[in-house]
Amino acid sequence: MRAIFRKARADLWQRRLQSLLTLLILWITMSMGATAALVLANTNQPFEHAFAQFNGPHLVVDFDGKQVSDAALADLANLPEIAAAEGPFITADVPVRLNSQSKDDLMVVGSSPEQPNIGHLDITAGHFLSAGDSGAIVINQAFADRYHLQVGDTIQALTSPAKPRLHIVGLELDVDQGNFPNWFPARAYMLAEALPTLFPAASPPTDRQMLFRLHHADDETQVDEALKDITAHVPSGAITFSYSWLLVQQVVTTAAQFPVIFLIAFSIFALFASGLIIANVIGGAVLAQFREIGILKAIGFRRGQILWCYLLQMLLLGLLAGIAGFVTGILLAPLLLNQVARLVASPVTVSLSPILLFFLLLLLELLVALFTCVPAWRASRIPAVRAITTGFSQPRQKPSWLGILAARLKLPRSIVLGAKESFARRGRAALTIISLALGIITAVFALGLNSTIAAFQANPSLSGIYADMAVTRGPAFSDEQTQMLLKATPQIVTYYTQYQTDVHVQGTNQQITLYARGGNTAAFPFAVQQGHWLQGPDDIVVGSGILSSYDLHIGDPLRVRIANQTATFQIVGQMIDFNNFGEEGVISFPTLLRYLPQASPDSYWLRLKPGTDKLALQKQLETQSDDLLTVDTLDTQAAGPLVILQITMLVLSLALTVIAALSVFNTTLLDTREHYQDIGILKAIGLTPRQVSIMVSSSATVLLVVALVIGIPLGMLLTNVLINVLAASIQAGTIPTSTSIVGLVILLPVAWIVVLLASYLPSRRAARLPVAEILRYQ
Amino acid sequence: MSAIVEVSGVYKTYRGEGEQVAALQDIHLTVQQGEFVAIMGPSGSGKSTLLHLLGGLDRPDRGQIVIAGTDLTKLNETQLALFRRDHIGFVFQFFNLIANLSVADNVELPGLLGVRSSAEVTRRRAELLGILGISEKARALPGQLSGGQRQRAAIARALINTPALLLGDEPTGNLDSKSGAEVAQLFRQLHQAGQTIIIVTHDPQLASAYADRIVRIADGRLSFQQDSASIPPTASASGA
Repeated sequence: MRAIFRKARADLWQRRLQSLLTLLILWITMSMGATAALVLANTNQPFEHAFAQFNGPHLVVDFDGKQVSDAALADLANLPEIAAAEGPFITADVPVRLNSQSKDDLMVVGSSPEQPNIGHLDITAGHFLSAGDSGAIVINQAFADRYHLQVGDTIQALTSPAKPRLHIVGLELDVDQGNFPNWFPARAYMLAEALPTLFPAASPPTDRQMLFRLHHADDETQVDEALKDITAHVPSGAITFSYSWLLVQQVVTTAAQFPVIFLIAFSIFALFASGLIIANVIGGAVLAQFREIGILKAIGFRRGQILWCYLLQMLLLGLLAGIAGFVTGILLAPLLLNQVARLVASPVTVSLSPILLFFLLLLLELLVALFTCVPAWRASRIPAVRAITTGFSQPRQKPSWLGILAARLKLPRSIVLGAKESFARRGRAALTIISLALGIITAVFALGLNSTIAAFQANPSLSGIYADMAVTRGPAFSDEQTQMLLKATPQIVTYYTQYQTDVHVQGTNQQITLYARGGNTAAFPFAVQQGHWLQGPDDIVVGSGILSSYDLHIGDPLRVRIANQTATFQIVGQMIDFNNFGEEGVISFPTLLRYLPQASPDSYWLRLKPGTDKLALQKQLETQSDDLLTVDTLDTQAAGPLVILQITMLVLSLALTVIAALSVFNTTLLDTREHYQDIGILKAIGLTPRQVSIMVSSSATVLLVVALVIGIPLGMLLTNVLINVLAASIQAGTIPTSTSIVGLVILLPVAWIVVLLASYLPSRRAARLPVAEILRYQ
Repeated sequence: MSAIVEVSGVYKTYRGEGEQVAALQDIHLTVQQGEFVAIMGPSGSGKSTLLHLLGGLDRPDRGQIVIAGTDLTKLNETQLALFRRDHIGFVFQFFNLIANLSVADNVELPGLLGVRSSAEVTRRRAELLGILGISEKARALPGQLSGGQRQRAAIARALINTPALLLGDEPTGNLDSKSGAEVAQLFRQLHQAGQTIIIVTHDPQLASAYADRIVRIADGRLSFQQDSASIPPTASASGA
């Protein structure tokens, strides 16, 4: 081993530039992989920390207060699965005017001045409620951030014509529900006796909410057992909504995990690209040290020892890069974890698991060993006599059809020479092409992702939004008033109405969201990805989450409980659905009236005349309704997680571009070194330095062209696959991906510039070497 | 004296593209311990092929090669490598030092492959460099040495494990006359110290002046052998 160590060390030093490049590439790879692994390993930590700190509720259940008494609800605390219970709390959805520009809804909880024991709040500013302060409200920190609200500000409840004012006394963070805006409406707190005063006396809030801590709540099955018992102890239909802490955790952590899928996918790419570069470097070293290998054998090195000379070099580099990359991952992971930590006011902690470090290092070293062993094993098998007497391994001597083609096309001689040599070392050329292709695939994916997001933003119907604007009415503005107003507004061409409710799937405790649409639905191009839109009275169109969660297909019946009745619908279509993990369904409003004859629409979806000023119309409608209608202009922007995803992809593209460029640099360097004598002869017979540079760059360009032909279609395919993997993770349905042709066209010269830059130094070096020195070089 | 090299009935054929070349045919050769044998012959006669076979770098198609009591034809590649390490020292025409290792590292390399301690190998290296007169070049790279100095370093490397047999393939072929004479003198000194040496050379003066016996080979066959003492010295002063 001593002899091997000395040889390996000497080789690393001799090829220090390539050693440094290899180290750099491995460091980039390990950094990406370590970041992904650390995020995955630590994503749940901030939430788990906060959940424990706040004594979060394992189960939150909403009840219809008209069907079950508060006393009966309080008795639920005695059920065997229940460790502790808090409530019942009065709750109500309260539309609020926040400032001159913004309105939104809040889910207000009526509380006592003492904070609840279960689901304790972290008051981040101001204070909690005080006895007697009936106009006080404590709102969620994320909600306040979005609308630039702070303690002392006043908001208006739009629940009655009086529009009572509420003053913000505190901001809070909690783990009772998911983070706003991923989970809406946001939570807020008022004194229990003050909440009903926001509503007309004739229609007080009747919803109630209980918070439960369970003895066993490690998975949904255990939580479901408790929910079944609760359901059995209240009247049928009394439970209107329920969710577990696991769903809350999933919503909170999804934002951080979003880019991790891509980080992992492209880390694997980078790992593979690094391996190819290693194989290229070692392959080149073997060729350069051909005679030396014979000498080593002559003085007693065995085959295994020859192999270890190369393996040890790369393992040493892998170890250094692995440790440095892990440290980099520790520094980068908090940037992704911070999103989650901020949401729950939890510190970002990245636990340094020695097992994780060991595993990642092992993976890296195994990859390094694998890609080193192949060329190193070939080196060990070189016959000693041939190596010593010949001194070098001949590149292929057969005529190059590329060179012949280039000559027939009457391209400049320097390009012909470059094309001829591009595949002289087939193995090296193949490795370089693959490295380039991986970089191109990543870039095409990034372009496709941006293009797809832009397409969805430009055409909301792709997201299932078919209207130009949406109007939501509060309890103080009737359906008749709303429709009268809309019909009298000339900018509105037509509209459809919608009523939203949550219903239980028959035989389960699970809920889905049901939308009942009426009005002029025929005027809107509702689309499905499978099946057809509503035609018959019992038809329902669902999101893909319903199909997968309940193992249903187009044509199957879906039974739900509506107002204590079992409604049987037939699934006729599947729609794209980005909300509620695709567990939503659409029926016609007349169908709903069979079960809820008193129901009236709560939202109105408008088609506007072309050129309508949406903001002006928004202001007009809100003024005309005395601010009792909420008007949404439906202008879509990329959600936070998507923005982070785009940034992540940009970084990954840059990383893989760097790796591809280094691969080209390495290949060009090796090729020019092997051809120094040929270059000397060419220069001796009249090739100018500029022509030498063009010759070298032409070789690299040929490899790029092949890589583009492979990489672009594969990148487009990968775009479709990966985006739909992401869509499947939220059960949104199939996403039609799009490609930016302009982006692809721009990619071609950009890729070429990268290759030219990468091959610049070696080609310049070859062009500048004195002829006499080259011809003396062996 | 006992025989340290016994070659019997050795054949070696090279198969190129579309033709076969009989490099060696029916070679019989015995070299006694402590003997200095020079193998001479025209280019392509099979001299280097024979030397490679003696050093275990290649295998004969037929026949037997016994070096220091070990039949090389019965060894696998690993065993041959170990045998070369411990029993054979090679000196090449083009020196064949490892370019990115210092003289000291080059010389020690075969020693470090064995079981001896690093300290012992270092001592032996220092001793050899001293004998060969290049102690001050221990830290230099091969590229910083003259041809003669490189060949001395190569000889030191060949001797680090005190081999039973020292083989030289045109050891003075790439040296100027002065350096060549110095290297030849070194070989004589080693021979006088009891080293068994077989060299391939084009240099009749080297052969006649230093070798105990000259073996001539032509067209892959040993043409004849003669004691060098029976060869009259030539009048030429050049090393060619």
